[in-house]
Amino acid sequence: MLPLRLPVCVLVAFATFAALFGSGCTVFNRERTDRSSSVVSFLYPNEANPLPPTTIPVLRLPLRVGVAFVPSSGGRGMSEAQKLALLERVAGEFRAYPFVQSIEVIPSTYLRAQGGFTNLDQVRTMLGIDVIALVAYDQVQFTDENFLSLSYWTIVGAYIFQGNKNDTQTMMEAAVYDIPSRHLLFRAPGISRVQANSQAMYLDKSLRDDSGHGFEVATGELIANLKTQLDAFRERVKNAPGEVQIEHKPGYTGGGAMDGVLVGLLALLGFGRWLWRRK
Amino acid sequence: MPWATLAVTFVIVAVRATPSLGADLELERSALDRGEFWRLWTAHLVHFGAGHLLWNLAVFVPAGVWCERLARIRFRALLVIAPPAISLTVLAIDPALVRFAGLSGISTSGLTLLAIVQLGRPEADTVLWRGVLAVVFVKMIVESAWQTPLFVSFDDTAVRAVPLAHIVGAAMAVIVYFAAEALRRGRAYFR
Repeated sequence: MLPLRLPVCVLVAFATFAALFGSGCTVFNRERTDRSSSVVSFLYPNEANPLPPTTIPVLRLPLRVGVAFVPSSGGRGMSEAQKLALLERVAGEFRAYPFVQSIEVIPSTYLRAQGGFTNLDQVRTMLGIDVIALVAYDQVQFTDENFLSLSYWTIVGAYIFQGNKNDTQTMMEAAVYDIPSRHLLFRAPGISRVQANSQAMYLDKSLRDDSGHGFEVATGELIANLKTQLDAFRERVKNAPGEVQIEHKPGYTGGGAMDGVLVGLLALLGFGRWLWRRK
Repeated sequence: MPWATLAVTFVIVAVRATPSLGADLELERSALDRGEFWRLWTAHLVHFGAGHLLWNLAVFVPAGVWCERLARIRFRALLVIAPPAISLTVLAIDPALVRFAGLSGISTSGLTLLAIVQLGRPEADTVLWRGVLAVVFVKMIVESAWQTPLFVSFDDTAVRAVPLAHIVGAAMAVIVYFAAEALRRGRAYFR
């Protein structure tokens, strides 16, 4: 019997070692998921060095604005419902501005990958927009496994212990273009980082939740930065009128305004007369 | 006390401090079609920015306080009559105008009335008050010719100045002054 037991023991020992070593390799690994879209790839698909636009942008106020996600380059991206909800949130923040006549949330089906300005011209004709805010994103998710993942060997542990440590980093960017002149008017970023733990059996759901939360937080920051950049752009327009030409469409907003010169002239007149009468 | 001037100023500052009110008070062509006629008056209490508010009040408050002390009834009548007159005229003459707000028409009105009232007083400095009228007149001519205010810039580049509001405001001051004069003389005649 002894000669037979030895090979069995060796086999059992080898199988145990292989199981431990093999599972160890999978337990302590690191996974990464990317999803992204790029404004540059969309607008300049086959141009290594795109030429700068030569014409001065003419903004006819009030503006009709479109807001859309740039088509993603492939792989798992955001769902259309998710995109529309985020775009609607962005649009809602800017509808109240008096220089905005309307904001159209443009579904992804209107833009095709690498469509470029030709695609934007088509959207402009179809929806009657003047300016478009192209929103791109880059989200990376890392999943590391901590010491609690050792409990996954028991199978039940994969349901109970949070042995996965997830890290979701999101960057969103909105680039606002004047479509006819191909000019980038201004841009603004929004970033977020979401960290969470999860059990192995709920890893996919947890990553999906983190992804959604990451986009939500990044959108909030994007909106705040867009407002700042918009204010900076309006200042630039006022201070450097040659950079962007402003025209008004029929149907404008009017304000009754006095100005400092009138007040100054009146003060000067009063002061002059007071001096004259003192003589 | 110039209660009317102070009350209008207080309301204007309160409206500015509560931006959500602006949408319900400014003059909008479509809102008038819905029967919201209070906007003919309230549009003049709304402003499109701090600079817009500051310069309008810089003219309205001193002119209003002075004018209300000299010609209380006329000035208060002007505050009631001029706003709808300005609102209706700018909407009627400029069909492209869809929204309007700002006190400048009333400020011009108050300043013009003050100058005319002063010129009617025997002890008035006629050179000064004719000068004031000339400045107002030249401003209106230049603005109308250039279709832009002289040096004012709104916080919002989408908003354009409406010089017509100043012309109507000044015209209303002249009308109110001479209507009141005619009324006074009529009363004196029948007595």
